[in-house]
Amino acid sequence: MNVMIKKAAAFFILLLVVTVVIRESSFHFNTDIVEIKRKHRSAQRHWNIGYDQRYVYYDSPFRYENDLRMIANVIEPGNAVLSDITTSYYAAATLPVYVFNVNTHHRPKRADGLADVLLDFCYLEDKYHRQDALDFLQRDARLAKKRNWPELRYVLLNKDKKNSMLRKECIALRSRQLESSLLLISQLLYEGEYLNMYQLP
Amino acid sequence: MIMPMYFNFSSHIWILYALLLNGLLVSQTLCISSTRYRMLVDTFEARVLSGFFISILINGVSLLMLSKLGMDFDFMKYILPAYSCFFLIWLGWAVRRKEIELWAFIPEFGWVRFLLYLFVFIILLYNGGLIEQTADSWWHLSLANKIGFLNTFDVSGHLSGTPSRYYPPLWHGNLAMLNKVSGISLPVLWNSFTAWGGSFKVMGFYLLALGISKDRKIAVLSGILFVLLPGLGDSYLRVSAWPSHISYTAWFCLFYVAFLIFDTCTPAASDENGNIWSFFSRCLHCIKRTRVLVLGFIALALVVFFSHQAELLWFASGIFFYAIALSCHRLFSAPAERFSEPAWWLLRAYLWCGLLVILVGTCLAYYPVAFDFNEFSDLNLVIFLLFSFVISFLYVLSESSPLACIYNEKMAKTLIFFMLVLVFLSIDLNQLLSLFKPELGYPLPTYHEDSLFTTGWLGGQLKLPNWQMQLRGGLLYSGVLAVVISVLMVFVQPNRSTIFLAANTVIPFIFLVSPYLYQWLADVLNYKSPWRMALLIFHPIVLASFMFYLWGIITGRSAEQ
Repeated sequence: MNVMIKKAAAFFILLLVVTVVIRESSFHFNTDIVEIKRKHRSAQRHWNIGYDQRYVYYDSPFRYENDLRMIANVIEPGNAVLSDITTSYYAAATLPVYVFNVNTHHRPKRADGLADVLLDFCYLEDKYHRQDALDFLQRDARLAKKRNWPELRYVLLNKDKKNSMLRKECIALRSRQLESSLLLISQLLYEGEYLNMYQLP
Repeated sequence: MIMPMYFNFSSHIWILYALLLNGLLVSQTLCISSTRYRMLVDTFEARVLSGFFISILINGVSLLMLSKLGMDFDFMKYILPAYSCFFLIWLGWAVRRKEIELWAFIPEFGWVRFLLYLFVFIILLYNGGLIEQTADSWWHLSLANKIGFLNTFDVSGHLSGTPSRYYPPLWHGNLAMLNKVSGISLPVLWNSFTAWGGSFKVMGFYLLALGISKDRKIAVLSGILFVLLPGLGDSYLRVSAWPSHISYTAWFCLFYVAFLIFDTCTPAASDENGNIWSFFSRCLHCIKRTRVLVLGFIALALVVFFSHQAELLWFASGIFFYAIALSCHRLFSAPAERFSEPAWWLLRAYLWCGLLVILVGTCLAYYPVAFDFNEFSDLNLVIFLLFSFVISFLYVLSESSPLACIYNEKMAKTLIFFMLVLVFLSIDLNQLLSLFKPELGYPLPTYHEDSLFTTGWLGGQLKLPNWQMQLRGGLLYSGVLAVVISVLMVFVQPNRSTIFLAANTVIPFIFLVSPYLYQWLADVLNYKSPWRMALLIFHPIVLASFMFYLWGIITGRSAEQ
């Protein structure tokens, strides 16, 4: 009798543990979580059967491979590039350049006042913003020379409208206007399907 | 437009070639040349992982030599095939010399395990690596890119050109090399490697579970639960290309090898008690008997040290907690029920050293501020708690030391009981409850990786980990269930597995809920994420062991049979 009670108790406890395991594992098979997390831009660290390749394909530089290869051939290595945050990381990972528009916890001292600078670059068609941008470039060049930092020589414009990681910043949102306004202070080095590279004076 | 499967196909071939082939050739040759090595890598998982780790170490050393000689890492295009030719010839020579049959090449293999790894590989091939967000993956890719661009590991300020923190570069160097020899971009390689890294990690976890439980069925179920349960940071499979996850895989294998060493280093009965010279003699004898295991351990430790480092600390902590639990078990259990750990003589010495390190570390971390007793604060209580802990366990260990004359069993039990009371008094109930009810939690910090703050018994400010940092998701509810189950299992079935798992489930959990212990940990370690100690909570193994134990009762067979 004791043995039967012991077996029954073991069975129910096992059932409880298995229920906990099944309940906790179910999120891998819940495809709604994928959209909820994407909507909140929350990192999807766990595998999910509903998370297919197109999310990575569109929200990464896979489609820019050709442009990045061509840009690597026309730029001078070892200089700094200004771009939106996402494209900055892409450039840092694929081109022989340095960047400074990155996430706050990666941001160097050089990037103080970056928000103002990016606003200036975003509205270059306005003469006051254009003058501020040029003043910044001069100050930054002096600082870079003094501190032996890479010189800010290029602006990388991402024209892609499908990459959802780009939609956060002004210089990504206004990429169409920037295609022409950047020509007011820089020279077009490369015009690609997704990326344009400009050389600053 | 859907990214075609073949988009990354060539990258997988390059990964196989540059990060596996040479290591596998070396591993197979060593299997033929050394019986002890073959026993170490007898399983399919150990064979594959040994191939991977040997490859990345060989690549790392080669890159280091190239950078010291001022040569371009492009030379690896010639060096890699040269290695392959050399290792193939070596393998062929070893086969001819020993006249080995082809079947000797085949490791121990299980179809359920293989299907599990295949499932992980395919699902990660489909999901991809976590590069669709501007997460830290891009920081690591930038470092790998600059290592390849500058042909040196000495890269500071890889992102912006201004000096940045040092990060162990073994994995980044391997990625840079892969990028240079294949011409495939780093994001593509990172994305493709995620499938391999995830499978390797699950293999490593299988070996960890096998080393702890010595039961293949428990190890297989542990691997399955590792893939299924939310878990802590190490179980994020889409993050498997991160250097920390390469380190986790090696860390799991470290425990596997350590337990093999423990099994082999059984002293003779006459060696049980002796002076320090007999201890060193035993150590040398043990190293001689387990030299292949020791070399394997060192190689794994090097992989961890040069890819992320922190896991060496967690390994040391894991063995230390096991030693503490073992000494408590030996003190409180009846001789008939006592589990006899073969390597207790080694663990006892390790415990001695660990306690002294804690003593010295505490003094260094808090000197001179908290040793000023004019103003007694919660920091003084932190020191008091740690000193009490050290003194209690040093007293327990004095039984088998030259100071055995001062040892009294009742006194030892009282001291340990007193310690337990102090530890439980140090627990912040609000922190514990807020794990289940976030609304009870302390105010969240501005930066999500910072600690929470609470008020101690004397009104001082003490740190606590933020449950939001990967902890709540991993602990609720299987993690918390594992804490309870692991304690029960020690009483029901005391053996190495249950004692190790209980120690490494309960003690790290206490660190997460005790502001005094967490404050100490944060102060002594120069590490921004001390809450990662929770990685030691191997709840998939706890649950798997428990499930098989219950199944043994239901079917009338014990789990050990």
